[in-house]
Amino acid sequence: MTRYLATRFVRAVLTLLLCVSAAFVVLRLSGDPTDILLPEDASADTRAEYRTRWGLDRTIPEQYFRYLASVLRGDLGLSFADGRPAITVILEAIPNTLILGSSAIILALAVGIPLGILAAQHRNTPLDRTIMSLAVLGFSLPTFFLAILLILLFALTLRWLPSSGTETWLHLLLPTITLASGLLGKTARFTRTSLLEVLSQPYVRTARGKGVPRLGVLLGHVFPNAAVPLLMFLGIEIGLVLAGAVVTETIFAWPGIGRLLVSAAASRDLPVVQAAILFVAAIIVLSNLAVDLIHAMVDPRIDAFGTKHSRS
Amino acid sequence: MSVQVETFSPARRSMPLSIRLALAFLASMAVIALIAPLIAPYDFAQQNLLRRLRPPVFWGGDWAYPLGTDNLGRDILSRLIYGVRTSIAVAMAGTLIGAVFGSLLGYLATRRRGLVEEIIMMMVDVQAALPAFFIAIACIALMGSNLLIFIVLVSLEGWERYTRLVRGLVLSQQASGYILAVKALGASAARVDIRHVLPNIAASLVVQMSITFPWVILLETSLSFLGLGIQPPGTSLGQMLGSGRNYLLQAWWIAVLPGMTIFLTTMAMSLVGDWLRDRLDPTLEEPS
Repeated sequence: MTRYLATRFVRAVLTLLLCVSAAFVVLRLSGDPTDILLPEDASADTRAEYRTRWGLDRTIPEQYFRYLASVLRGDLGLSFADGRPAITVILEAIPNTLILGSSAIILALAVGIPLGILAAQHRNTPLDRTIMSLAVLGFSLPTFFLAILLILLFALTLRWLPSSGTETWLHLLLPTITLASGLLGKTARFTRTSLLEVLSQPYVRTARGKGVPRLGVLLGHVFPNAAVPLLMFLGIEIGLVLAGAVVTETIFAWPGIGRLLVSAAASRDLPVVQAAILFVAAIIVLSNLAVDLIHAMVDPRIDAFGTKHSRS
Repeated sequence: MSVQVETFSPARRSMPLSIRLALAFLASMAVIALIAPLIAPYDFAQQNLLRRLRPPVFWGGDWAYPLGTDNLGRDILSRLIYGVRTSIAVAMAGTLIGAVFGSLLGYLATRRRGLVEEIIMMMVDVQAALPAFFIAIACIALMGSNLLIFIVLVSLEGWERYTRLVRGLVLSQQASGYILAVKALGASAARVDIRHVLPNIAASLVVQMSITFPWVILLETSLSFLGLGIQPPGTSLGQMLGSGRNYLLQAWWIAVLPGMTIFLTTMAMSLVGDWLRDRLDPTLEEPS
């Protein structure tokens, strides 16, 4: 178990290091960094100061380690837009993205898992087929299209909900539904598949055979075993939720990382773009690490040697 | 718990109606994309400020502009036709480049076991951690966007899946009995790979491409929607949707019609992809 966790941890750190290094390589490959990292109208003095501060007159390996050190200190350069440190700009936007992202994930799980259970228990009935069709619709509708349909219906035609801004919790509703829809559909489908697979396992038959009541079988045997693949699935989906957040935040004018990233990319504010991308990578890597940790805690099949026994 | 016996009756193996409809829709989209200049009633970029925001025929408009006009008086039908052309062309090029590049890397990993393989698989892991969408945004911020860069960027979508797939398939093929037999007969490595391994993994590659295609379309349309992809005066479905977003109250059709087209195209392609996978290659994992 310890070794399993240690490898996962080293892997997470390595992946982050790779992302940071990739940013370094790309910035150095594309010519004089001061051309890119400073606005076009920057004076020669500013350029010279920037060169000294970033150590651009040194050798490449030395530059690389100095770059790593400054990233670790949280020094990611200054935003072109208002000259504030990129890290400050990012930190302001992070809470909004976390609020939107977590409420979307909670909604997707709170609705998707029960729907999946319902569909699995009524397998091959009209109810199952209706739920599954809705699920497919949920993850097939492109985020931007769903957002526009929701705005048309609830904000412009019915005038029930606001279509942009952050003032009240009502403002959170439409973005949350938009962002949750894809994950919700996938969760429902995945829960169903996962449950059906567990239900066909010999240990479930044994439990039923020895007279465990239906609910007891579900709570004691089916759910714990079906939860493990669902957990892994969630870890994989985090990246796609964040990608969805970019589109969702832009449409609903939600001042989070995603909207910041789009406006920074459009105005080529590279320090902010880099900081936002590194933040996204960190979130994805850390949530995958968290999933691995929880997995190791709930799944006794991960043994002391770090190998996972597959059931066969 | 009953076990259902699989039977291969003709009815089971024929094509379901939904797949036929999806294929017919995709075929018509392909034809529209090919003959766009012949069927578009107007120049897609031609503005006419006297005829702005005309509704479509079914919403009280007239036949002069069957699907209405946008905020600059441009004919929506013509723009849709050219938008389909651009989006499909970019997505096809992107899918193809991604497939070739990803497959070659996967193949290289089987040829150069050791360090090269390790590096390639590490790249695969990083790509799997950070969605192509974010890499594309970062590169556009760095280099700006033109059509060539854009096609290369959308081809990033899913390349790591081909690499993984091809590496796994080639390794398992090379260990199989018939390959050993062909090698024993004196066939060169190149001959073995091209004449024997490739035909045996081609079906899986085609399935993977049909599964990836809708993702590439979504990546292209999302980026263009955000204003980071296809730039005016060019047009694409995502760009139409993005510019129509500001006129939802006065003219919903500017955004909804291209949105519907994107939705139907990706949905039809996903249906066909899933069906192909079940038919040709049941061993591929279900994309979750």
